[in-house]
Amino acid sequence: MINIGLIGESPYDTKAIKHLLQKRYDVGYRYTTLLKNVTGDHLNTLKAIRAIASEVKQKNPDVVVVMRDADAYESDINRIKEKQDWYIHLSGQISNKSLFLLNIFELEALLFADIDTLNAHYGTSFSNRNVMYIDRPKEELKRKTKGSRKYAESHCPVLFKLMRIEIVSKNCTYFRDFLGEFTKLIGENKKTA
Amino acid sequence: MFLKNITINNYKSIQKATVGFEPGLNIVIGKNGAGKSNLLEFIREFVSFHVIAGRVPKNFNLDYLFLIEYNQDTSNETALFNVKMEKHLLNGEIIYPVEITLTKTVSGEEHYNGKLLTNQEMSINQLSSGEQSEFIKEANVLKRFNLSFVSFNIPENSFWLDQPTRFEIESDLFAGTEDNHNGLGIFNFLNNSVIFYFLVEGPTSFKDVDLNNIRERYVKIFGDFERENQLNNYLSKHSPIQEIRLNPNINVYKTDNKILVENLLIDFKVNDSWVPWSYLSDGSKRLFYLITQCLSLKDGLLLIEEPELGIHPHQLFSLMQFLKEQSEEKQIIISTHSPIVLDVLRQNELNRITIAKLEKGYSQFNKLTEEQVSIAKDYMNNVAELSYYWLHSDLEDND
Repeated sequence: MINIGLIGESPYDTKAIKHLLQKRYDVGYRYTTLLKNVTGDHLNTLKAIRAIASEVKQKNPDVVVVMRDADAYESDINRIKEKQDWYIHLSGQISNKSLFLLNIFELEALLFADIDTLNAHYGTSFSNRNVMYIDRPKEELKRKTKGSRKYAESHCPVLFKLMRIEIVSKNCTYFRDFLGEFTKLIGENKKTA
Repeated sequence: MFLKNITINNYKSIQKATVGFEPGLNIVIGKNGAGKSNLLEFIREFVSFHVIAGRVPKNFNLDYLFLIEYNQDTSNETALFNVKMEKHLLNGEIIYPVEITLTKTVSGEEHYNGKLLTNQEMSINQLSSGEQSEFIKEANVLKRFNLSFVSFNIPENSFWLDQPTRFEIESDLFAGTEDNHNGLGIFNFLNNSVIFYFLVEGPTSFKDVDLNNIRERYVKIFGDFERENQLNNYLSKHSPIQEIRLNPNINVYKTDNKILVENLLIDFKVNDSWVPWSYLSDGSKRLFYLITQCLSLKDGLLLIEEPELGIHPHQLFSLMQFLKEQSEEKQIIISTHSPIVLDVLRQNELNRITIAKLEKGYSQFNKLTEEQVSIAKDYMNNVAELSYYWLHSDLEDND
């Protein structure tokens, strides 16, 4: 059994990414959320970093997936570096293998990478585009969905259960890169198991 | 529309105070006895007021903000309060202000006066009939401001929950009477929807009414409503209640001139078993009450007293995520003693905190000072959550 530890900016985010990864890595993998009931702002604090380090030490996952939202485009070097520096500081506190998934602009960008699934679920007609250039995808979803089917962050876990990982990987560069690294790390774990 | 500002004079512990609020989520903190409950009570009692009945303009697409100034005239036992309403375009430009004065006596009698303020102040009597009618239309905006209040207590002897409700449909099929006082607002629509069914598509003759059909109609309307509001979805995510349903044992009787529907009750699925309201824990009841009251309000203002009461910390965190999400559609004002509740706010939302304090025996309500905002941000960036500042430093005190 390969244990994957997940850290994210909200319980919805960690559940969502778990559902997506399970599309390919399900049987033989166990996913554990590290540091429950936390939000994006809290992750920045020293207290959170120490708590994560303690959680990792206690639960000892084979791989730790750390997910944050950049809240910026790739071209916004300062904002990207801020999050990367945070991750570097965190990874220095844990000895287990870890991997950083930095969502450009935010997690909801991945929903736009499988546009057919998104449109089928909400009855919308979003068109294909480069997901890394969508300005505030969460706000766009809220604007373009209505009534009882209006998008909310709490929908993410269910949506990601419907998404097709191959399509998302094909249409989103940063996720494709992450998945490649993740696959390598998992493979290394299998060899050492 | 949202409640922007409120000025209160002589209401319980509040001698003279002004409080500002933001659209979306607002949190009021303060020690016991500081006046948080009095503030919420006041808002509940005086924000819902009546204006002249009339039709609301159809193409209503502007943001309205309104301010309430309350003055109690204790000398002759009337409560006089002024409401000033400003009409704004979405970019904040004022089109024209309207001032409404409502006089409400202790016996409940209400008198209404108003002014349309343009370049010069004019009383309503000086307006042309066209302008008056326009003014009345604008004043009716106030009537559209919905308000819901979730108090400390779980509702007791509530119809639909721990008491079955009943409904009598008249033989003309156009009206009915219900025992539904003290029922949770969210289920009040059910009986009216059955009447609506008769009006629109059901049998038009009393003798053709099929009693089984009525039972099925209730179940269908309930199911449609649940799906539309995603009740089961939200309840299962944020409470131990997996599902709700209408108790299937609805009794329907037909007499010569009435149809009686009895035993209307909600059942609850917990731990994969269907149970009545009385079997739920107090915490589960409170979560149900909070979630359904929030969902029953499509827009307007929701007041919540201490949502943390009787709720497990994990479930409270989950509930706050729900309320934060809901605050995108409606204004929510929460009074609390809980760090978990306060921590739902982000660094750019510190203006949503109101601190209640007693000063010389009277309640005052303050926002964070610039210095406090700076310290809070420093805490949130470098130390721990916002509540760490609250618990271990001087967020509430200036000592």
